[in-house]
Amino acid sequence: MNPPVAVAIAVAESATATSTATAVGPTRSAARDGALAMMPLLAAYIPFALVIGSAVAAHGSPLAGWTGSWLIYGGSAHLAALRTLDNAGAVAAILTGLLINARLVVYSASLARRWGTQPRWFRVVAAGLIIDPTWAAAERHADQCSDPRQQRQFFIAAGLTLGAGWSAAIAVGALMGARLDGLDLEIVIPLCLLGLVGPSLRAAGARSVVVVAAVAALVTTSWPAGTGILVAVVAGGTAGLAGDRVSGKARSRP
Amino acid sequence: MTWIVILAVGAGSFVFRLGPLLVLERMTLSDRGDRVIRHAGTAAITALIVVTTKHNATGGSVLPTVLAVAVGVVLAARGGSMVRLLVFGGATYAGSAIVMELLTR
Repeated sequence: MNPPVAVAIAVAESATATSTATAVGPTRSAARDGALAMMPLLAAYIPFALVIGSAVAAHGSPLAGWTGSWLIYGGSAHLAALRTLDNAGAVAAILTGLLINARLVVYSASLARRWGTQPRWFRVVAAGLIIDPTWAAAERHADQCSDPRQQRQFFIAAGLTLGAGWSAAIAVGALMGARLDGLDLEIVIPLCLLGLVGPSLRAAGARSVVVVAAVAALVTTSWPAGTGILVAVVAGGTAGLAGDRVSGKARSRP
Repeated sequence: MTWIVILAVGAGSFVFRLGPLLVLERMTLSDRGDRVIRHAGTAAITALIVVTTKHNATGGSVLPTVLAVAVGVVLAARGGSMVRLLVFGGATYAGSAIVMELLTR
């Protein structure tokens, strides 16, 4: 691992420790909680952003590529769109990016039921910041805090913290360009995502979702980019529902 | 052409994000629908893990990638933080890649 990432990780570890130590303090604002919740994730996502920055640098229009850090705000779709543009043209790149980001509908629908009382301006602003880590953090925070105002502060702070760091790291990656190629950083992408599904691996009911979705995604890897993800979403959702039914029956038995 | 792709994917992604927030504003989901959506979110991230792992596991990096992700799965299942996952998974990848390189020389 390169030194800047190691330093960022050390900072994030200390931020997490601070967060845990003061979580019960009454003066802590939800905004600060949101920003702190993203620090470890941001540290972990920096290598991922550098990979995308390197791909951005390889294009004729690095500014356009970098703008995607805020417009697309999703690493996998951003990277896939850039790579597909090289290999198969603009239409295929757009379709690939959209198919991969189609999962955002699920995250948004999940948050919509949490944000039933939130004002419309917040939904419009927050929509641009919905992505895997902010969704996971918002879901966890909403389980602990039902106050809409605090949920707003938490989510906006979390989304902006992640977005600013993400965008800056992509810019650094774009400036470093091909010098990053030898570092083989792409392994951090699945590892970052694993950190997000960790809680599901520990919950018996959700474990079946992870297993079925993984198998479905593996079977469909040769399908056009993004379509396998949608199949896995449907398969995982169905498996989760079936698992809930089984565990519900088991609970109701005398 | 890059501008067109970025703008189109960005606009479409925003619609994906905003659509349900506005459409479901006045709708109440059943408990079942609620649970399906939560599970589907987890399934989406899992699918991305598989896709990115498969993309990375090519040529000589198959074994290092599989080992690193396996270490990541074990740590995630044991409640390890994302930073810990990254450090140990990354170290496993680097270590096994070096060993593979030495063995093939």
